[in-house]
Parts: sequence; C-alpha cells; structure tokens
Amino acid sequence: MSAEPKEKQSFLKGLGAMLKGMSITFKYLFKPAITVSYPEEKRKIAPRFKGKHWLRLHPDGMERCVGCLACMEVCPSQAILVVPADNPADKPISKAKKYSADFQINYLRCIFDGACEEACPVDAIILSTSYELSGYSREELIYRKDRLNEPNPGASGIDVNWSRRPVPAPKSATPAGAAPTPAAAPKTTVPATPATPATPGTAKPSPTGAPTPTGVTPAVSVTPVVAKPATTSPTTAPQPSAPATAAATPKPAAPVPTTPSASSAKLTEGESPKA
Amino acid sequence: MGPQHPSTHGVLRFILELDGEYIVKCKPDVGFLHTGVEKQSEFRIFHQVFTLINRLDYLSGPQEEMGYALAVENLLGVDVPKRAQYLRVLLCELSRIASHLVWLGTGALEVNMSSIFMYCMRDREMILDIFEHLSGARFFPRYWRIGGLAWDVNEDWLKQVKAFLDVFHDHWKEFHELVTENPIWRQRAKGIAKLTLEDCLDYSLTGPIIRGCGEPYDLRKVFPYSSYQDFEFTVPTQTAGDAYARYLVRMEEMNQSWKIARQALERLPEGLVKVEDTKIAPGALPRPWGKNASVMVADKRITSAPLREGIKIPEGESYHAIESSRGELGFYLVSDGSNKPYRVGLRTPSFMAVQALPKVIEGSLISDAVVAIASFDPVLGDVDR
Repeated sequence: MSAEPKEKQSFLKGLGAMLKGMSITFKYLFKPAITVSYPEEKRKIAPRFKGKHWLRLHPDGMERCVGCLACMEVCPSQAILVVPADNPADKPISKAKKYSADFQINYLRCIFDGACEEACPVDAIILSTSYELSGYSREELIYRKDRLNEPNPGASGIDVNWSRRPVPAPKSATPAGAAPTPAAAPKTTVPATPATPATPGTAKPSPTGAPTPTGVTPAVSVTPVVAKPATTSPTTAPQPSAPATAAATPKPAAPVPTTPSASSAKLTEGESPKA
Repeated sequence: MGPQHPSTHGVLRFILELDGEYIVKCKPDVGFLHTGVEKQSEFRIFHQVFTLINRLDYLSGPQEEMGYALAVENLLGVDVPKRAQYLRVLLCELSRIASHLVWLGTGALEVNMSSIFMYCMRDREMILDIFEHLSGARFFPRYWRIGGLAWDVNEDWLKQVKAFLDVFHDHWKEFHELVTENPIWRQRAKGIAKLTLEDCLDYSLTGPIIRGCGEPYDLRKVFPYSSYQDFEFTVPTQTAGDAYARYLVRMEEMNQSWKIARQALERLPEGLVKVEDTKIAPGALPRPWGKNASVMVADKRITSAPLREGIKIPEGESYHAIESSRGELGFYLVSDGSNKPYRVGLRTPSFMAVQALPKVIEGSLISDAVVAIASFDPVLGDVDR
C-alpha cells in the first residue's frame, strides 16, 4: 500500500553523493569544537542581555526607586510588586516624596522582557547580564530588596547609557559624565540604606571592576577622560573620537566645558526627581 | 504516537490505528500547549500583547511580532519610517533562516542524520546571538514596537550580521551537498506525504507546502508589506508536492532569505526607527542627559506612557497577514477604542498543516509518518495557542 514506487538513482551517483557528504563531515573532524561545556565554561553574553534585575542606588547610597509603580503597571506578566511609602522625614531613603517600602520580583513569573526597565522614569530598575537564577522553593525565587538592591552604588556594573539604548546617540550624550554613571560615581563604600540589611552572600557583586564592557559605548567609558581636557583648554578640544565633544561642538555658544569635572559630578548627585 | 515522541516536534499526539506497520486511521490530538493567547490578549494593553504573540511560533518570534505590529499599525494608520521597515525585513529574514535551520536539522535527525543537525544548530546559534546582541533576548526579542522598533542598531551589530551573512552561504551549500543527493534521504523523502494543489486549497495550506505543489503563493510577493517590493527575490516552487519537494523549497527559501537580508543590510537607509509621535511609540525621544533631572524624569514619564497606559487605538477592525516561515500568519484585530484589543484572532499556518496531516499519513508506514510530520514542519505553540 506504500504509495509510490521509490525512485531509482544510479548506484554510482548515490555512492558519490554519500562520499561527498562523508568528506564534509570528515573535514569537521579537524575543526575546533563549537560546543561549550557549560557549567565550567561560559558563553560570552551580549551586553544588552536581559537577565536578573538590579535596583540601582544614587552615588551617595540613596535609593533611586521612588515608588511610582510604573514597573508594576507595565509588567506584562505581573511579576513585580511594589509597596510605596512616604519617605521618613529625618532619614530619607530615596530622593523623592516616596520610596518603595517593599519591592518584590517573582522570578517564577518574570519573562525578562525589560518593560520595567523601559518604563522606569528614574532608571532605578535595570536588567543585568546574570542569568543563573534557580532555587529549590517558591519563596527562594521571589526576590526582595535584600537581593535586588545593589550592595554599593554601581555594583551592578550596569550603566543605563549603554544598556539597551541607541548606542551612538550623539545628541543625547552630553559632556562631563552628566549621566549618573557608575563609572563616574566615586568609589566610596557607602553603607547600605537602612531599608536594606547589608546584602548577604547571595548577591554576587558581578563584574564590578570594569564599569563598561569595551566596545559597546565609548561614550560612557571615556567620560572622565574627556572631561579633563575640556576643563584645561575649553577652546581647543576637537577630539574626533570622543562623542561627548562631538556633541558639544554643534552648539559652541554654550560655555559648558568650563565646569570642572568635580562640580559636574556633584550635579549628578544633585539630580533628583523633585526632591 | 506522542505527545512525548521525539519525532513529533513538540507535544503533538496522534491516535493511530494500525494494520501491521501500516497506518489505517490517524487522528491528531492537539491542545497540550494551549495557553489561551487570544483571550489573554484582551486583558493586555497593546504593547504588552507582543510578549504573548511572539511565544506562539517559538521558532520565529520576530515574525509574529511583525504581523501583530502591522495589524495594529493598520488600524492606527501610521507609516513606519523606511529604516525601521528595512530592519524589520532583515530581522524577519534572519528568523526565517533560523526557523528553517531547525526544520532541516530536526528533519534530518528524523532519518538519522545527526551531524547536519549540529551544523544547523551552529548557524542558528549565530542568528540567536545576533538577536541577543540587538534586543537582549534570544528567542523572543520584543524588539518591535507599535510604530517602529524599540531602538536603533549600532555598528557592532551590523558588523555581526554581515559576518554571519558572509559565512552562511557557504554553510548553506554544504547542507546541500550533505543532503540533497544523499540516496537515503531521497528514498525516505521522495513520494512521501504527497499532496496535490487541490488538497492544499481544501485544507488552506500555505507557505512552503503550497509552494511545493507548484503554486507560487507568497505574501511577500502577492501583498507586499514593509517594503518587500524593494527587494529582488524569487519565490521557489516545486511541482512534485512530496516531502522532497518541500525540502527543496525550504532550502531555496533560505537562500532567498539570505539574499533579501543582504540587500536590506546594504541598502539600510538612514533615519529614525520609529514614528516621532510619542503617543504611539514609547521612548521616541532621545533622553536629555545632563539637563535638569526633573525634566528628564518628566520626559521619561511621557515617552514611556504608551507602554504604561497604552495607546488608544481607533475603533475598527483589521486583518493583516504576513508570510511567516510556515505560511500565512494572519492577525485579525478588533478594537473598541480602548487601550486594549477587543479581540485578537489568529490564523496560524501550523494549525492548518496539522489538519491536513491525517490525509497524508493514512495508508503510509509509521516510519514514513515521521517524515511526513517533519516535512509539514508544524510548531505546536502555533497550533494550540
């Protein structure tokens, strides 16, 4: 009942095709293996990879999250729970009227699509490149602030400027580390905010040392470098490679570069949503 | 057979009535992956639906996003910038290659050719890396936005795509050499799962299946969308209508996709990747770093508003179909003027393919049924939805 008679192929032709196929597979015998033996050896992760979240801190150790619930609204899988509360007057936790008293991310629900990061108005929540999230129980996979907050400012090693953003963006990149980058942040070990009991060993410090992976955005990693020549010689700064100066050139009237880098760093810290 | 059978490409179950080795009767049992996407979409705002839609056909997420975005943009009546259209085409073609590579690898694995499976996965891995570099996710990029794309690409990424396209054609030739003339493959695939053009029309089969029966029906040519008319490519057809013909069609499609992707990369125009209207596309403005922070905050509140509060889509209904790697993928969308869709109807190509499977399986050997399923290339997320 098998439908059709099988087609006839000349024996020699078939043999030739077989030998050709075998020669290809044989060729691969001498090529290096393309597989990665995972737990020992790790694949190179793209810098934009969307993995575990971090709640970022201001350079002075205060929390960025202002409890606006934008991430909670926007999450397509309802994985986030934020309980906002009024900032205590004597000991503010964030730089706005409110802060997040409780912040939970349910990694059993999270689909890592990055909507929270995109909606966050203060760039408080950000997705990092760490992806090894597993646990033995349901409770273990509901992360709270003790595991989500950065242990110290910039510890996540993630900078909003390069993470999932249009990278060259010459217009938005302004000089002198105006962006609150962890690179620009001083390496002061500010004690964690009162709401966060000093993060336990679970929060691994991730690749902190290198603030920005190379090659992705020169804009951020060179900011301190760019700021200095700008201060010393405000008139002559035609560094073609630095995008920051390139951004400054279109509007020469603005005498921005005279500000020393220290004050601009202070400006960064002063940045706050309606304090 | 199934739902855990390794050759059913997912959780597809067949109730088979056998006479020795021959299949007398066959009834597909679907629904193991039912997640209620259509209904769930009614409770998500328009931008959130992307996350559900691209999980339908999990082998070609970008194409699903494309179809849905086009259906919504149809209702809104917005024109997407040319750069976004070209990038969309580029990504869709890359994902078509990736999807066909899975089909080729697993299809060959079905007849015990295991090395080509590894080679296919190697190339597919390169494409997934490209997606990861661009959007941060490998399978489900969620890179589409209503009115364009999420963010612009960078030089690094373009280089990565170019590097892939440079090597892929040689790899594709290797696949041909490995499989096409192989006598075992020919004996297993020729004359198996034969369909006529009338059958295709009866079961409303599209994509590589109808093209394997001689009908050059390709939505990219018939109803060009997203600037497909700008690219030169041919629609491969075969007349035999069997598994081998479908194999040849898909192989040639990979080549054509490679050509389109190269053209899109070479001719990629400058400009924006989304419409400038911040009420439609989230994050449309570059962020004013260094200005007053409160301005920045207010700005981001505004630019992310479509994501958070949703877009009010005008009342009406629209249907938009795209040529996915499996055939015509249609989105029927009804809006009642709110920020959530009133109804999302899906026309998924795999569903039709599974319907037609009993016709070709009944009367064949069990081992041929395996090849028949592979040649239809159903994705069960797409069937059960």
